[in-house]
Amino acid sequence: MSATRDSRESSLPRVHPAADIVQRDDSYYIVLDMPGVRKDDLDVSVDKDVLTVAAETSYPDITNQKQWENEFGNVYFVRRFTLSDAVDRDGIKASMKNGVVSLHLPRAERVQPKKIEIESG
Amino acid sequence: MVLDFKTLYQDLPSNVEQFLDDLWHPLHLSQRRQAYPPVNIVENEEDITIYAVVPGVEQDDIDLSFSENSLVIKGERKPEQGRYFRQERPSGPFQRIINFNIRVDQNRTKAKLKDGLLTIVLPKVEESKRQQIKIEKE
Repeated sequence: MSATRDSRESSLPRVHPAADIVQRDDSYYIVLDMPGVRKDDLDVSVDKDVLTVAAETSYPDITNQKQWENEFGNVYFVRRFTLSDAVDRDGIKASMKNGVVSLHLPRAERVQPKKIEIESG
Repeated sequence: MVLDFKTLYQDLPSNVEQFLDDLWHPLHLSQRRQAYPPVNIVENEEDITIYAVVPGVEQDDIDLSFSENSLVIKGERKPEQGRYFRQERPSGPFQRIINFNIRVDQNRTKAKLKDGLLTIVLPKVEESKRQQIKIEKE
């Protein structure tokens, strides 16, 4: 899956979106700034232990207008993360709001601390 | 930890790439880092349109106001709750003032927010529009 994406040619400049990684309750969250990306264009995939988030932005075309300022343009956002065994791969969920991607990575069951009962001898 | 150290090293080549890119385009660098949020401003016959990139900002956390012939964009980016392993996204209050050299109709100005892009359309007042002057024949 990631092999096809690697070979994918986007004519847009490749940009690493800024990311936060936080732990909350018993889950990890990866939060990425991807403004200008439509929800339908977002591509999130897991291949073995590599999580890939990719999308092209869809800013309105301004090339035919008189420009006063031009500080940003369309880009191809792509970022990869290597997952450790602490993450339950099948439970990963993605959501998008206000140009921010939130990935919910639940902790794997077996990594949760487990108390071992000591039998009285 | 969610990540192995491998991920940190994976970042390195692209950062170097970005760094070199910035060196080649010093103008691009100065524009990007100067003010937040970054804006595109375009003008056509009828109006001026400002596009501002404000990912993660709720509509209620954006304050738009006019001060004479400038538009003030104020807002706040709220940080994520929880224990941070990595923090790259900026947070906190921001403000940007955009000055106009032509008059706009403040009452008919409209703004919308979608996918982290704030679009503000400022219609020109009648006298700011381009007027064609007819040359009379002798």
